[in-house]
Amino acid sequence: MTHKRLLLGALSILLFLSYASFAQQSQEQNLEQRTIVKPGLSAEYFDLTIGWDEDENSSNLRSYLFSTNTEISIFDGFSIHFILGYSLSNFDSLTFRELPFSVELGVKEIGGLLVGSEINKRLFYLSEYEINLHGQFVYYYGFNNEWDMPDLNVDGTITGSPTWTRTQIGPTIRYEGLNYIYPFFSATYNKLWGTFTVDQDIQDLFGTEEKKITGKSNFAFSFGSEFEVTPNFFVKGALSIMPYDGGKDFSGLISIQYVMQTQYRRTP
Amino acid sequence: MKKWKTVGLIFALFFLSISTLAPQKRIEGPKLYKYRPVNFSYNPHNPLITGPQNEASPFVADQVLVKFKSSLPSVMRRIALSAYQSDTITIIPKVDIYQLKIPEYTSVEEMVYLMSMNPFIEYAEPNYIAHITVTPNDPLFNMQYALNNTGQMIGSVPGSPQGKESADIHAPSGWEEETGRDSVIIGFVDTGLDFDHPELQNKYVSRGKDFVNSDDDATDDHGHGTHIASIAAAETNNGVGIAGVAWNCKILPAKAMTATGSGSYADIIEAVRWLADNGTHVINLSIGGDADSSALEDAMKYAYSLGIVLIAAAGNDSSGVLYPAAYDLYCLAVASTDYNDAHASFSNTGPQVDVAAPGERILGCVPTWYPAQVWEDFDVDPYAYGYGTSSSAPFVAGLAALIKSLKPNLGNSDIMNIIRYSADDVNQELFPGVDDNIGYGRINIEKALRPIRLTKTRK
Repeated sequence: MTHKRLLLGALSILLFLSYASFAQQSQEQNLEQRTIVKPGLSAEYFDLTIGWDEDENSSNLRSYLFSTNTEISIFDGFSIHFILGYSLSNFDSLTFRELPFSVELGVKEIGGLLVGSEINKRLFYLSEYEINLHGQFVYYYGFNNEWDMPDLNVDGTITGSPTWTRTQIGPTIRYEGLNYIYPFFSATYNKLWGTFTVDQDIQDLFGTEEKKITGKSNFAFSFGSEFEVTPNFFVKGALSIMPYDGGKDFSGLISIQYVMQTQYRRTP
Repeated sequence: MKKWKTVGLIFALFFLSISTLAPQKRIEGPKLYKYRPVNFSYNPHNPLITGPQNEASPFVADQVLVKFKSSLPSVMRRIALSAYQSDTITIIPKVDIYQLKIPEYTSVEEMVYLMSMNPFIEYAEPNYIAHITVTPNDPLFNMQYALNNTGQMIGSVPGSPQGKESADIHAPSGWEEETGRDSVIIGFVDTGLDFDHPELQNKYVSRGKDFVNSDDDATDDHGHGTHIASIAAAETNNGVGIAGVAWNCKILPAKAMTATGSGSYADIIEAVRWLADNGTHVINLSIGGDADSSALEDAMKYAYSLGIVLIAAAGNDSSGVLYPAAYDLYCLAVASTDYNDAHASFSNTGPQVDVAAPGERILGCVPTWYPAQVWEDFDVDPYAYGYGTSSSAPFVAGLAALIKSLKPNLGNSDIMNIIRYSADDVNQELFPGVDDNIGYGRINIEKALRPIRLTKTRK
């Protein structure tokens, strides 16, 4: 509950900053305005330690995320991304003990839809460093899966579907003193939470259990770089370390973006 | 110049992160996935199980086991090990496996990954930690083949029979998940209980009810009731005597059988009703009669309607299933197997049989006043071997109590079905599926309690 409140607070700040920036921009009537659209593709992998049963137990959530990532920059210094894609998430060793027969998930990548958005807002420049505020929200809706119940003397099945939500918010430092290469570093509040609901059906035995999961790590430290391959084509790579009490998790991201630009001038 | 220093620093961080990330990706590889902790899972339901089972790490923190390809000369192996900055602790002879100490700055997972990438290394894996399964410290436990059959001698005199390994109810691995809660009560309709027995004196809820002598003291004047109750719930891990199935569950006796081992249906009916009204979760009836009785069936129905799991012995005269075991709607009828997982010849048969449990040479407590020589060849007082479906039923009652302890929200029909569906069909070569001899099969505590790993997805 606490992290959700924190997140809401952070998102409110982000929205406020965005609004303030919009207001300031709209007053500068003579400024040349540009709408930049950057359609792109991205692939990400993360391996997160998740806690469940009120954090008494833990296992790993390993996910591959493939998405289209369209960035729209309405004015200089502010952009919104729309994320739509597909994810394969593996909940190996997640255990359900409230069902009539307890079960433990084996290795299995569960496909699901991915939707989300991202906001980047430039805060200020410090010499050749650009300081941005970055916020992201991604929601995974896993497809329903069905497993056979092994080892019993009657037939039975387990069906289940997972969901998870990930949010990130925090500052990003981007170095702009080089041509074609833009290294960056970010430290973000990073939280993942979700549920995995399963139904057991064995002859006349039925049971349902919803397992709440939360990522052990609350913070991510990311570094990477954006490469300007051509004026209209960018490649970005980033790696993140997510420490938690007793360990650390990792994620990696690579994306490509094509820049489509529209220019117009407002009349005073 | 300052600019290039900054760039250099960023790139150094970038490459450092790549090298750190890479091993984590490899955790998905087949070697680590193959490992499925059996004895390492932390079990919040079972605080009694302490020690290695609760440890977080399933392997030695700074060691890996490595096997080089046999074609690689030893000098090249040494070079490879120095590249990994790992010290050889020992080379296990014959199998040629290197036990290595890895540097402090890296993790076992990372090192396993890095080594697995090396084409000259056949495999690299963590130095996993194994544990013994939960074994109680009761000195006679190793004679209780029914709980854990290692093929041991079953008896203390020369010529005693020897069982088949694993022809048992798989208790130790089941106990890793649950050993019972003291809030779960098993009622016994029998000859009573020896309240002075060291294995039982701390286990009973009250002195029960005596319907034979019409008083509130169900003291055992026969021996049968004490033996049966101890199989299900003798005090366990106390360094004395035997182990019960449900270590921590409580006992409530209702005496309906006389000192000669018989009892009227009226007393049995009263005993069932009284146990049902006095907080029991499971009732064991290691008794039976030939006559069908609506009154007895009504008593079973009443107890069942209160959510109680009813367990009854099928009978020992190689005929049809006795009553109340034959009241199929309300009761699990228990047949006997022997130390080879074969159907016991004396065990009654019929479509009402639900499951079986060992019923030959079952070690249990006898009253402290009991003449030891009466009970076969066993000479450790006050314990003795028992036979028959009477001895089989309390194994099932103990399992029902363990399930109730682990999953208190389950109803009696669910618990009964879990016991049925998790049984091992040990006579499937002769009678595949449910049959009249052992029903669904010989009970299996491990399968009934422990999480079943899901590996096969339906298309």
